[in-house]
Amino acid sequence: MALRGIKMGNNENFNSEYDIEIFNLTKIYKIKGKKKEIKALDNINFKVKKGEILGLLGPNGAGKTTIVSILTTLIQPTSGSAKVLGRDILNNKRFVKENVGLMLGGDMIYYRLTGYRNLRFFSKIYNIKDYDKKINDISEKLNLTEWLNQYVENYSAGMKVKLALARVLLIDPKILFLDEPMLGLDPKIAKSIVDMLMKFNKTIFLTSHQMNIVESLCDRIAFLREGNIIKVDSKENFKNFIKAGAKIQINVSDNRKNDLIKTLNNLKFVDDLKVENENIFFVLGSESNYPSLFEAISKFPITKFKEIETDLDDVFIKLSS
Amino acid sequence: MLTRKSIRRNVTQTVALIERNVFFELRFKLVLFTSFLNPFIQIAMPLIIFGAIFSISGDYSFGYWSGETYLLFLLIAFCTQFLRRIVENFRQLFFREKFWKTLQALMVAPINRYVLLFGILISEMILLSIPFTFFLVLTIFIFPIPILNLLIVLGLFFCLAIFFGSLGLIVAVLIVTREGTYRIVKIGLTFLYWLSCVSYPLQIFPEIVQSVILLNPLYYFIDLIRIIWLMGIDYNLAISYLSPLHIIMVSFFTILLPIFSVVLFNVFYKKYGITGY
Repeated sequence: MALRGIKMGNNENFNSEYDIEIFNLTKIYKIKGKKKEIKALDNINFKVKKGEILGLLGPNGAGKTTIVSILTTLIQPTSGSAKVLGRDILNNKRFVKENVGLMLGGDMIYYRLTGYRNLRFFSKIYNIKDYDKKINDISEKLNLTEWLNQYVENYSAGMKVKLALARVLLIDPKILFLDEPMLGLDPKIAKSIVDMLMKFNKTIFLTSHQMNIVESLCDRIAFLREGNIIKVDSKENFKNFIKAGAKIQINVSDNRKNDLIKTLNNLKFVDDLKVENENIFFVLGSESNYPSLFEAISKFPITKFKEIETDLDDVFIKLSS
Repeated sequence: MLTRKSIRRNVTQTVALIERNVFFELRFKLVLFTSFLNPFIQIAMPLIIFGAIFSISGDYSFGYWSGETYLLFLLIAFCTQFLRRIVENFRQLFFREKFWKTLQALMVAPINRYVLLFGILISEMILLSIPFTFFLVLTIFIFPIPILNLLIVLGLFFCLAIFFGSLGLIVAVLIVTREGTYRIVKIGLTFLYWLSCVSYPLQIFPEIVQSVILLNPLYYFIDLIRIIWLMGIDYNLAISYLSPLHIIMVSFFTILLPIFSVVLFNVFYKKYGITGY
């Protein structure tokens, strides 16, 4: 099996099928002055396979950036351990730094320098040979070429994200950590970047709130809430997880709307009932409840009945709550 | 272990940091230019005051500070002031990097902390070189110095720059990790500068203050530079003020302080991370 040029040097297991392994990882932040502690990560365990694209989802403050920061050696865990490319991150910081790339949205670039100066600087820091050619190639792919000699302070938000992405792609890491990589990008550019990332054939650890990006890019999804991993699964299984209860939209003549809502509320297999204008939405416990549902609503003048396809937004909302 | 490859990589990274910092400053050229002008304005007042004092009292002297040498004190003090700016520039740079969130890009990169120290230090020396060289040449013009002494003086100024750069890195890590404590350190730095006899002689202070000054490493750097320069003017006078402690303190702190600052940087960064942004 190809080891991607990793030198064999100690007894750790480089043949692991996983590029990232996390064992009982906990991170506690002390809140200064309040003598209070916040458990940002609580005994986290999961693994990311070689070449896999894992999307880490979760509401704000769930601990996503903390995981990324620990895995890229930016911060230390309170307890537990993690391996990157088979090596313990705490004892092999230099190795980890040489082999991972981190992108935090449109940050980590110098606004006071031109795009080219930014890329040249990081090329030298990462000891990249023939960097001018690589800068040109990546800039061309990201449509940055015309802007390379402009100061970054003059870039649009999307351009800054592209430059930040160019910076991390330039160093050609074995694992890419992308924290909100498409924020501020228009759908066309976002899609072209997704296509580009998929061609890279690298292990990617992605955090994002843009479900369409996660859906099109990721092989598996991990959902994090309040420092705990709620679920790690394929995106299909994530969607099926919600689909177990079908999402239904019903419309009824106005004069019977309240009666229908009352009837639906009395059905045990109806969840998450919401009313938006003339539309009534709810989740059906399981497909086997359809006959009972039809029987209950048969006396109402239904004008529309629709089963809505589940997407990751639904999963996100369901798991976040 | 240092290998040819690692040395080459460290040199490349140092050059990258130098380039980056120079281009940062060139972004606002007028700011850079006015920062060069300031010292010329600042030196005018003490020149007038000391000139007047010594013209009234020609034989007035403290130690080797006299009507003949006060200008040497002042000029060397101004050269030192330029280097002193390195400390403040380190603080500013790391403060900005923290809020630009570019510090994470450096911290996540395989970059040695000594490279960070010397990369920034050398770039600061390059940026300060124009006004520094002007004052140095002016000093040479007024107080000619043998070439060997000049080389020693330049070496000592380089050691002084390392001293200030190391102080800068200590301040920088406090700015990154424990921003609140920087104010306390700043008070300490003010005392360090006040009690360094930068433009006055040691002998002008009361004995109790003198004993405190003699604990200040910065004093030995500045005094040694002046003594070496004075050797070209009045060798016997200069040598009578030279002590082994000068050499010991300068050597000790030129070597020790960079190591201490890097260790402190690593310990603080590991313990606290980047806070307060």
